[in-house]
Amino acid sequence: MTLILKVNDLRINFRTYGGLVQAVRGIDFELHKGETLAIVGESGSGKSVSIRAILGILSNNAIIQSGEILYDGKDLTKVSEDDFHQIRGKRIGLIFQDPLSALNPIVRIGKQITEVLRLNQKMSRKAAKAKAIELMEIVGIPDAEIRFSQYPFQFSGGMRQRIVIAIALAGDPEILICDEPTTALDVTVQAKILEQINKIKAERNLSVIFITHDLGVVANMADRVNVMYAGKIVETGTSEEIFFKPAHPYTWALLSSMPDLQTTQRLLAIPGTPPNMIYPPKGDAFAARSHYALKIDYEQEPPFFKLSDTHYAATWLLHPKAAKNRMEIPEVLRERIERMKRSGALNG
Amino acid sequence: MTNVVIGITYGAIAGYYGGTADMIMMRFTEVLEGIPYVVMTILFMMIFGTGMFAIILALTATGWVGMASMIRTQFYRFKGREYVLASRTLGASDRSLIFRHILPNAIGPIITKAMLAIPFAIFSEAFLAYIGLGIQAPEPSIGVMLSDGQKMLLQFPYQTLYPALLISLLMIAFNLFANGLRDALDPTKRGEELMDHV
Amino acid sequence: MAESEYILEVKHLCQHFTSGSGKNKITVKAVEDVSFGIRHAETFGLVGESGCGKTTTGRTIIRLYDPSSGEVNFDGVNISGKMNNQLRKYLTENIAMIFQDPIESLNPKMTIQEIIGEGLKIRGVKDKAEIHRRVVEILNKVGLTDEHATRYPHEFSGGQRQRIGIARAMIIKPKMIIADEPVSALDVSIQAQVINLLNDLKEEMGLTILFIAHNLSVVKYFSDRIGVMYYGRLMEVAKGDDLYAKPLHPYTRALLSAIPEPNPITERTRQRFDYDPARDHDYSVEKPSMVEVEPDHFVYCSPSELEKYRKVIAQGAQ
Repeated sequence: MTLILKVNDLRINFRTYGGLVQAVRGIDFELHKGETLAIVGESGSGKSVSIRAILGILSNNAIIQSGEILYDGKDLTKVSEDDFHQIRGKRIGLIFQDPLSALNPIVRIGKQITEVLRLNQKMSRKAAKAKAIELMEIVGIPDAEIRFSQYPFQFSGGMRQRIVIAIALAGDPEILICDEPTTALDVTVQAKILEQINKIKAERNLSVIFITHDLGVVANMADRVNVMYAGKIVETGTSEEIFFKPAHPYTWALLSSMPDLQTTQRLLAIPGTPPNMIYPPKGDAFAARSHYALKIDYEQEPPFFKLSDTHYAATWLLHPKAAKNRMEIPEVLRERIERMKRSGALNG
Repeated sequence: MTNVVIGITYGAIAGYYGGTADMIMMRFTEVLEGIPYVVMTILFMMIFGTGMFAIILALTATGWVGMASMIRTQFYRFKGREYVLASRTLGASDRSLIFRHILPNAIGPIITKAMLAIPFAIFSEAFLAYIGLGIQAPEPSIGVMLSDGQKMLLQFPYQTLYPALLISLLMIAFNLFANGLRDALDPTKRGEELMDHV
Repeated sequence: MAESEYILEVKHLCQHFTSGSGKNKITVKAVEDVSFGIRHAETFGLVGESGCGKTTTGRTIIRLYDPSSGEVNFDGVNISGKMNNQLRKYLTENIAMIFQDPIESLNPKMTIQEIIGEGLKIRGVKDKAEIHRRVVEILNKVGLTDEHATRYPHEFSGGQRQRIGIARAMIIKPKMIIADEPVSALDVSIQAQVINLLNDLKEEMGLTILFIAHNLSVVKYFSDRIGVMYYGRLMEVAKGDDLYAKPLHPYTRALLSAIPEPNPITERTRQRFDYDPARDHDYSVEKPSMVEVEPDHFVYCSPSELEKYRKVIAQGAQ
């Protein structure tokens, strides 16, 4: 598959009153054409910050300490604001979590779409309106002709998010970045929006980066997954590998701490809270909350251990020397994986 | 200070109980708000003669309205907060809710406004004296000084300068004091809070 | 009077909010004709999407709002009638509420000790040492320490604040707790902590719980029976397992089909159902009502739909 985006050893800090917050502490990943990469993590993991860096929309107190983001022959960490205008919206589109704040409340939504079209592709008014209505239909807004002249407040949350998607698509981007686009929506609406994104992605052969904390959504959308914790990627692999052969204790913890519709046993809660990123812990940041931490986890950061060409996990548990101390994945999780495989076999 | 107290009570009742009581009370204040205090002063002076008493009365009569309106808004803002609801479910009495929960949180802007009422009163009084209403010489008043000073502006500019400076300083001082007081009473300003949204 | 098997009985509860007057009057029927019962020491989950009325139902039961019509009985006592001191005392002694927003539900100007101790003070406990002792006791129970008592809410994380909210509700030893979306605003890993805590407390203290949430997986995990609400009405009420295995109402089926499952193999090929009341029902002639289709499984349907559902159940049993 063709590589279209590559991030190398990205480190981002924030200047705050309390000190320097190390939000992203050295991450590497790639995005290939036509694939959906999901980035999973909780608040404080650095997932949102990394993609804001890709688009150059970090807040003023952010410093890109080091690293590169290679796209289309340029390093996005060094691109000027003017040049970003060519990229943002046109080559890389962004969909945020809250559709209400992404839309201008006093401008009709038709205009918000055509504005992007005319800016990027120099269309005439008529052509832009036709294209906008076409986009609205693609994202599934009924009665597009009529709704073209309506205001954001006349739409429900799900509809607004579709408009945001339409606006993102208007720029005809190559890459679509979605930052928790369905977290604030009802589950039935979420199902429809995700379906829409998948459909559009297939039609236009888009590459998508999808950020979420919901593992169910990841299962639905992703080809590959990066699991982030405390500013680092702790595990990366294909969707199947992450769900059926998870290797890092944090991935285990995430998978076993949320009940699915068939869970009956006690949830494996992760004790404690995410670490303070001004003084990130030495070694494996998750060690303090992990049942599986080895002594070395507290001292040295684990490197990535290869499990397959696509599957890597950064945990000392995978070191050959740890073999005799290594504990198995939690019983609860193993059972769930077995269950999933069985039901997958039935339906597949 | 009287207008502060009256204003607070009035606004609190209107804001807390809402509904019809609120509507009636607010209609009344809206009528009063329309009357400028200068007119009121003149009226009162016609009745009570010149001197501090008349001025105080006039300022009070019109002043409390602003305070009441603001308190009412604050109450509406805080009435539906979840922690207020939580206390209601525990069985807290109305009085307890007003004084322990709503007021301490709403007090910030109220203190600032109350503190500013003082320099405002000073300023109003000065203004009235300046235009010839209110206190006349030889009773002391910044307004009188300004007024007299104005006559001598060309020869002795400092006569206007100093009183003007004084008023400005007084107002700034009270403003800072009010802000300081508000911050001191706010426990959330103590200690660090790190809100990362990374 | 026959003794009910239910400790909480909700009968035809309606909550209508009106605004405007005369010609411009708008009535929002937030809760319409809702009836259900909760048995002693049972956990009843109330689930639905935004605007379905589940939070309003919870708040009306605990009298943060006065019901527009209908009746609510707790332990045989009518708690939906005209409010007076006696009723308020009864209500606040027996039912407590846990709120959703960990930031908003704690008064930022009060210390933890004051927040948790408020319930005791209202009950008339005056001895400061006694209050402190009981506050510390409940803090330990929810996984916090003594020294947390003198701090302010802003010094705590979301998960800890929810624990404080739980402590505040539990200290008065209520018979029933209404938990209004207690974990929705928390990070995934913290949610599990709080759910486990609630489970432990539930077992230890034999609590009856009304659990309101929009995440059906969490609700099913935590509850014995579940009620599904849609735009103010209950559509289906059943035991958790029955609801999952035999969903009858088309909305329940749509809801279940929309929940993403962390299984990449099944997710890709999943069939999702849509719910459209205009299309899925014809109530022009027959009017729907809440009917018991099989033991402890109720559905809101018309007589002909009832026929259909009974057949489905019969077939499933074979």
